[in-house]
Amino acid sequence: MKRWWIIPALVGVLAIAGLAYWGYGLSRDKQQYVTYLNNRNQGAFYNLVGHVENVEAMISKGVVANSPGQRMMIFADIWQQAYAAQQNLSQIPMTGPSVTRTSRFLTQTGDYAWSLAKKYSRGLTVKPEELQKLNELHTQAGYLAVELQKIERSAADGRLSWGEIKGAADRDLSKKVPPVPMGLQKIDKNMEAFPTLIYDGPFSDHITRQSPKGLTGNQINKDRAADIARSFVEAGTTNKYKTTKTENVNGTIPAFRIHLVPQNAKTPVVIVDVSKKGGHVLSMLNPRAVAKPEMPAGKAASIGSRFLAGQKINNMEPTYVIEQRNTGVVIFEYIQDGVIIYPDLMKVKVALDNGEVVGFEGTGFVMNHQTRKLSKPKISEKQALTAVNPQLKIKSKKLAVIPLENLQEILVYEFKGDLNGDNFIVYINAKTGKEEKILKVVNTNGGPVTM
Amino acid sequence: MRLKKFVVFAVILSVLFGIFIYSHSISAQTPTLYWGSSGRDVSNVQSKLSDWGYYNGPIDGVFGAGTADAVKRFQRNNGLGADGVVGPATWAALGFNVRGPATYQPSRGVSARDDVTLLARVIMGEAGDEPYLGKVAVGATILNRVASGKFPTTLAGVIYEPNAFESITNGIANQTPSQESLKAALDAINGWDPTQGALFFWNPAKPVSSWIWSRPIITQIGAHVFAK
Repeated sequence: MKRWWIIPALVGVLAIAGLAYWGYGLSRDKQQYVTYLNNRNQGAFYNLVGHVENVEAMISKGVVANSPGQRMMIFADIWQQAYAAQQNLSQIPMTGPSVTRTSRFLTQTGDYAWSLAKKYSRGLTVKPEELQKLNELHTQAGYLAVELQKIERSAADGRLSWGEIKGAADRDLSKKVPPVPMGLQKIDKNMEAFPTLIYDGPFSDHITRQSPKGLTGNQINKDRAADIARSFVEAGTTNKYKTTKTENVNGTIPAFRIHLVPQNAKTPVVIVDVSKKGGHVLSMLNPRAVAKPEMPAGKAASIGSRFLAGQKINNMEPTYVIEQRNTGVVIFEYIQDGVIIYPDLMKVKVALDNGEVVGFEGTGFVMNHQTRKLSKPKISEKQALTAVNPQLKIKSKKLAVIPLENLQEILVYEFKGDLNGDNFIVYINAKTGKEEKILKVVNTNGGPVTM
Repeated sequence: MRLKKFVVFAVILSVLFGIFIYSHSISAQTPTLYWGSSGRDVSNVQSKLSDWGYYNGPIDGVFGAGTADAVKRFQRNNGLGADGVVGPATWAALGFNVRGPATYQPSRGVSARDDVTLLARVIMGEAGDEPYLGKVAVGATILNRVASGKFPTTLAGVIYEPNAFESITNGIANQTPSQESLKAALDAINGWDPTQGALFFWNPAKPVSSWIWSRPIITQIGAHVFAK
């Protein structure tokens, strides 16, 4: 009677005890996760340091080695070590300019070493300048290794905790730079002096710096661009369109971005990019929903051909149709003197419900197109065929110009063949008879893809 | 076509390695070479023998006296009948991988690589409320990163790079992507790039660090600024 408060008090105590127990569990779990993450980060970092040290050592071995065979093996090793270093770097929770620069350094170093290894495999020799470049890379790698070792030491004696860096986990690439260790910021400064690397590989500097080759004609104003955009869109549909907005795109090819809508509707907003120089249509996208197909995907090729011909874009041949989400994406290649020019490609997207053109992509064409001087092949198709694996059942053959990884273009014989049901495309150099490239056609759920 | 860029490094490696190995093998038939033969196969033999110090004549693709002597010396040193004729045994001893495997098992089924869904999930997380072009642009920016060398060189590597994308960090991107995001991902993979090669995008209305503004801005689409 007197102690009426005993029960509520007991409940209260129990509740507090329960809460404390629950909270303890949470904090223990959290501690475990933090430790786990810390360990992963530490592991990645130690691996990074190890691989960078290996890269440094391998490059110096590559400079010292004197026989092609030995160099080739060392270069392949550099490639592999640099790749592993780059992988580990990308697992450490740091972003910002110092990381992208270090990443680019590692990718390029590996890619460069690999391009040198490939030269040996083609029976070429490496030039003194190329070894000099390698020497410069060695200096950079040595620098990177020393700075990373400093960070490693400060992490080892507890001056730097990866947990602090993990605290930055709620940022995206757009927000604040996570606390990059001081050492890495210094690396950034030094890496700015990094030499320009132009070589035979996909990450060579000349690839990011390439300028459009097919951008011919005079400057146009935005009204002219709007007219071009409107007639382009109207050519592929029965609707009439009006311009609603014009914007600027300041990329590799400066362009006007024209927004269009049908005369008596608000959607869909069709976007067309028209180059400021020459008024070339770079791309067009109509985002409307496409209903169930009323025609076979093959029909897209003839619709696309007619559309391009109407735009006075000639000598384009449809090579391929990808059927996706009720549309047919047709890939057109430029044909010069009967030779298929693979770098000069355009894509036309056709809605298979009513045959309307709902997309166009011509940036690649404007970047690459030029009138080429095609040399006559030095070897015959028959001779070229002897270089192809005889187990391959050849289904088609033709002359083509293909881009290598470094964007250099070569004249080749293209042989499409079949090995027990797997499809391959083999390219034989029409000048030297060398097997330049092998592609395998792989079926994915997004359609067939070459690898 | 754009999917090519996706091809993981390992695949590039294996293709390159393929080229490397192939360049060491010769036309897969095994022609028997003897005095009077000529052609590329003869040059291959000559250069190999010359590398190994058996032959010091010109590598001219003509099987003459000098080549025959070199072949005989090579055969003697390798326990082969020294007849000066390059037959299958001599080809093999020269290190040319002449014959492919007798049975080739074709790859089975369809590749399960699901780049489209992965990309669509990030597009939905990062630009779910953006206009369609903004969605394609985000997809294209991610693909540009894969090709740039400044970021990991695989799609998953770029997307799961720690702190690279907010929607990945906070888990929003783990939902099933919308139809529109899937469509935008396909367009980006097929080569539509409204950003002309952007590597960064951000929302100028949100707090951002100063270094990101130092990037050359290409264009703005919806709420996002795109930059190199």
